[in-house]
Formats: sequence, structure tokens, C-alpha cells
Amino acid sequence: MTSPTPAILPERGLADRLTALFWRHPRLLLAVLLTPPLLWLGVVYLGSLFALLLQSFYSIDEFSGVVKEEFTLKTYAELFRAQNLDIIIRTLVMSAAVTIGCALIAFPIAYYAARFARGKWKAVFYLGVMLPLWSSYLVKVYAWKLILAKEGIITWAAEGVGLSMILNAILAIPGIGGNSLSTSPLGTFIVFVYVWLPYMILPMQAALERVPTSMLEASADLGASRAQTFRTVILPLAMPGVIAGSIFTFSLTMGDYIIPQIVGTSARFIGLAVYQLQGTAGNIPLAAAFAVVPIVIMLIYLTIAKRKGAFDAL
Amino acid sequence: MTAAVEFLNVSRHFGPASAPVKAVDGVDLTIAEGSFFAMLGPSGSGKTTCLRLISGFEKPTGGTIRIFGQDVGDIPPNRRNVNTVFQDYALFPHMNVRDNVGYGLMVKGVDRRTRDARAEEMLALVKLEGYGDRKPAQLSGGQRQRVALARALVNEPKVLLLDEPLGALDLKLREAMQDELKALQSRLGITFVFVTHDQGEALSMADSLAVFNEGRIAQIGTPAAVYAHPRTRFVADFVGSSNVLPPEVTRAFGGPMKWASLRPEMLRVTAADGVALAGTVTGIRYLGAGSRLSVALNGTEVAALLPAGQPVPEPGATVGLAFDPAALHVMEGEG
Repeated sequence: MTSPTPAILPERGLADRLTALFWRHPRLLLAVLLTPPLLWLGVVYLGSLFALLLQSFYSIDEFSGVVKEEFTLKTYAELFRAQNLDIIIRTLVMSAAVTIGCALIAFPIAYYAARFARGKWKAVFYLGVMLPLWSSYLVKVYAWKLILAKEGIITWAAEGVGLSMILNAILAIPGIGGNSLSTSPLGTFIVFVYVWLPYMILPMQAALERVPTSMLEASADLGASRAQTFRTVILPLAMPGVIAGSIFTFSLTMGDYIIPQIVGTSARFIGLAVYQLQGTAGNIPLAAAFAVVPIVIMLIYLTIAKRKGAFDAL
Repeated sequence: MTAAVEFLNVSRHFGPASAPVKAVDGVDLTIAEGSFFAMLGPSGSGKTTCLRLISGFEKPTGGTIRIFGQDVGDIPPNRRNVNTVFQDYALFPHMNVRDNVGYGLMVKGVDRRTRDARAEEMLALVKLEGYGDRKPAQLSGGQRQRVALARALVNEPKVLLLDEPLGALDLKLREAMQDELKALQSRLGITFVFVTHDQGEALSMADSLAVFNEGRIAQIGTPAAVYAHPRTRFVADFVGSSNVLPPEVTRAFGGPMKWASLRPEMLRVTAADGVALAGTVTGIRYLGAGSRLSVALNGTEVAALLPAGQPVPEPGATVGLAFDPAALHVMEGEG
């Protein structure tokens, strides 16, 4: 042989030295990769969460308006005053309604994307779901205000096809309706559902994609109708995705303070209450206590979901 | 005997009508009740599509399928009393073994106590007593296979379809399961339709088998008949890797001017002198129970099976070949 290749190749500088270092100490690379995000999560995120929790156990002096830095449950007791409880219940009902609404609309779309869309149509699906996320949230909300307004396209179209009666009947329902769609709780609901829908579709689609076709065939093979297959196979297997999506829609609705200001009655939601309490009112402890409510509700929700076996298929 | 399954000129084409992919193309088939029927063929030959046509997961684009005399063109899978053991088993991961096995009864509305008892019976049938509380993920491949079998049998199907059920098992387990499946079939008397690409499996288990090639049936018959009398070159080669002899070689071997098949195990390797057929050893493959020699002879490569214990010639050596003239089978399927 003219040029024999060596059994061991020479080191080619820094990159090879680092490779060797990481090869000798496999955990080192993991540590290098994980330290910055863990610092961020630990210090900035958990730290501020802890500070928030701490604030919620302080109270405010009613005369001076100064925060008293001693532990008390007084602020939490304030949450149970009628007007505050009202805000919590209103937010909870809206979040639940938005979550259910999103789930009902998202499921057929996610199912189509996971089971039938191939090639070009898959790209169209992703584009269609993601496209609204590219534009500003505020622009979308204001656009909806115009769409839903009394002089807006929906009222106009309803008049045009003679469905004003139905629209007015819906708007006359107490608790849901109002002067126009843009000033009714129904309007708030519609905008919430629109804005958070992608966050429900994507995890659902990912979950449905993981259900093998052979499992649906096995179910049909053993005599199940489509409805039975849906109830006993598809839904339980897709449940982790549904839960993941509902965490998004539920918590995003609970924390939002912009949509209820722009569309709907001016009734307050938790997010708006927090915004106003820490801003104009300067009541940081009560704002913090309000902010803890969604966290507690989410924890309860996840505990129930786990008990019901929603994560068994994970 | 009644026909459990009948195919009358059945086709299943995919894609556009102008350039269809003919997965199944004009298949005629009759599977007798109570038989163990194997569909054998390479991947893409249409055997699995045929199975899915029986279960109803594929609809024929042409022809008629009858199950126990009834046209099933319009019957969805859940109403066909036919059950399948899937290739990947398709056990429901969120249910335990008992609920998996009892699933077919659950969807029929059988109460829990009855179906649990039935599930336990089925688990005993496949020798998995006491495994009811486990999840599929906690089972080995062989155990999952048994659960899939128990689940498919719980509805007492008229026909049981098995889609390469042993493909994922290792050799030892596969052989044990072959014997068990065979015993189970004769005990239950249910018609088994078994899809496989493993010719050894098909030959050893089936009462009769169909060899598929490119969407059509190349030959149908008992394993012994197919093995001894392959109709075409494809069958001769696919089932038992026979020597396929072109007409002129058949002639040289003392036969007529036709395509013929000569099984490697029918060839005896002898000393080179004084025999009509002599050739050069070009390759030796050690098989454990013997060796497979490749011998170049009259420009054709011929394989001969050399039993263990006989001296193995060196590559390049000249050897003679001898055989019983009755072993030379002329294939009428080739022109």
C-alpha cells in the first residue's frame, strides 16, 4: 500500500477536543445545555411565582393604602366577597364554555388533519391553523369588534337573508345576549373561541395522529359501531391531547384582560381585575390573591383529569 | 362442504382509473369451511389486501365476495362475523388485558360479569390465565400475540383472519406458536385464513394455500401439491427455492423442451467422472443441517442440497449431479 491510513486519526483542533471532552464526560454536555434554561426557569419564573404567592398573604391598610408585610389570610377572605366571587365565577364559566366550544370545533378539524390530510392538504392545514397566529392579537380582536358590531357584517348579513329575527332572539336571551353581539357575553365567547382555537387544534391533532389506524380497525373488526369506537378508543387515546389543548384554552381565557375590555359587556374578569388592582387601585395583595385563583383552579382541574384516567394513554 | 369465503373475479385497484395500481386483480378463490387456508406471497403481492377485503377494511373495485354464501359488498366490518389478528396486534393500550379480550362482548352490550368470565376463558385457551389485570405494555411480544388471538376469538367468529401474526416473534417462539395455532384451529373448527410471506410457515400449517404474485393467484392447492408440482417459475422459486430450468436445460437434463422445476434436495452430488451431468462448484452456503451448493452447469446455475456428514467439495471443484428422472417436474403454467 502506498499511503497507509492510521488506525487513530489526528485531532483537528478545538471541535475535536470538545467532542472528546463530551465523550469522556457524557453528563457534561447535558449540564451545559440545561443550565441556562434551568436558571431562567428557577430564578426568573419560579422566583416571581413565589414572590406573587408571598404578596397574596400580605394585606393592605385600608386607610393609608400601604401594604402591610405580615402574614394574613385576610386578602384571600376578600376574594369571597360577593362582587369578587362574581368575577371568579364569571371567569370560570366563560373559560369552561370557551374550552368546550374550542374542543367541539377543533375535534373535526384535528381529526381530518390527522387521519385524511396528506401532502399538500397537510400543509394547507398547518398554514390555515397557524396563519391567524402571525397577525397581531389586538388587530384580530378589533376586527372582531367590527364584525360583531350592530352596524357590522353579521347584522347586515342577517338582515339581508331575513334572519334578523333569529339574531334578535339570541340577543334577547338573558345572560348571553345584549344590545348587539359586540356588547354581549356571547360576543366575548365568540372572540375567545376564535383567538384560542389553534392552541386546541394542534395538541389534539398531535394526539390523534398517534392513534394507529389498526386500532380503529380492530375496534370495528370486533363489532363496534363508529360511535362506540369514538367513545371507547379514539376519545380515551386522544384525551392527553384534549387535556393539553384545554389547559391552553382554559388558562389563556382565565388570564386574558384585553378581550373582555374590547368585546362584550364591561363586566370584569379575573385578568381585568388583576390589571386594575395592581395598576389604578394599587392593591397588590388582592391582585396577587386573584392571580392565584387560576393556578388553583388549574391544579384542581388537572387532579380530576388524572383521577379520571385522562393520562393513562400517555 | 360449504365455502366459508368465496372470491368471484375480485379486484381492488388503487389510484386513478387511467393508471391504476392493481393490488388485487381478478382473483377467484374458494376457502372451505373449517380449513386452515394460507395466503402466501412476497410483500406487495396482494395477499394482505385480500385479507382486508374479507374483513371489510377494503372495498373491492370489481367482483363479488361472499362469506358463507352471503354477498358482503354492502356489509361494513362491524357486522361481519369475521375477526382479525392484526400484524401489530393493535391491542388497546389504555385497557387492561381482560378489557381488551372482552372488548368484542362489551360493544355488543354483554354485562361486565359475563364478559369478564368469557375473557378469562379465552385467556385460559391461549394459556394466559391470571394476566387479566396487566396492561398490554407490560407483556412480551409472544404474550401480546396471544392476547390478540384471544380477543379475536371471543366473538366466536365464523372466520378468523391472521395477518402475518408471527412475523414479529423470534424463531423459537414462532415455531411453538405455529404448532399451537394449528392445534387451536383443529380444536375450534373455525376457518382460519392466514397471511404470510414465509413459505415454510404456509407449507407446515395450511390445509391448502394460495400463492400470490402481483395481485393474482399464481397457484392454489394443498401444500404438497404446490410444492411437488409448481405451475409457474414464480411458484417454483418462491415456494422452496427450486431450480427453475429453461427449456434447453430441461432437455439436457433428459426432459422435454419445456420449463421445468427440480428441487435442490432431489439432486445428489457425486464424483465427476462417468456421469452425464458435471459442473463446477461456484458457491457453498452452510445451512447447519447441510450445505447448499451452487453448481455452474451448461451455463446455468443449479442449486443442490448436500446433507450434513458428506464431504463438502472446494469451490472450483468439478462435481457430478444425479437425480431420479421422476423428480424433474415440467411446469404447465409456462408456455
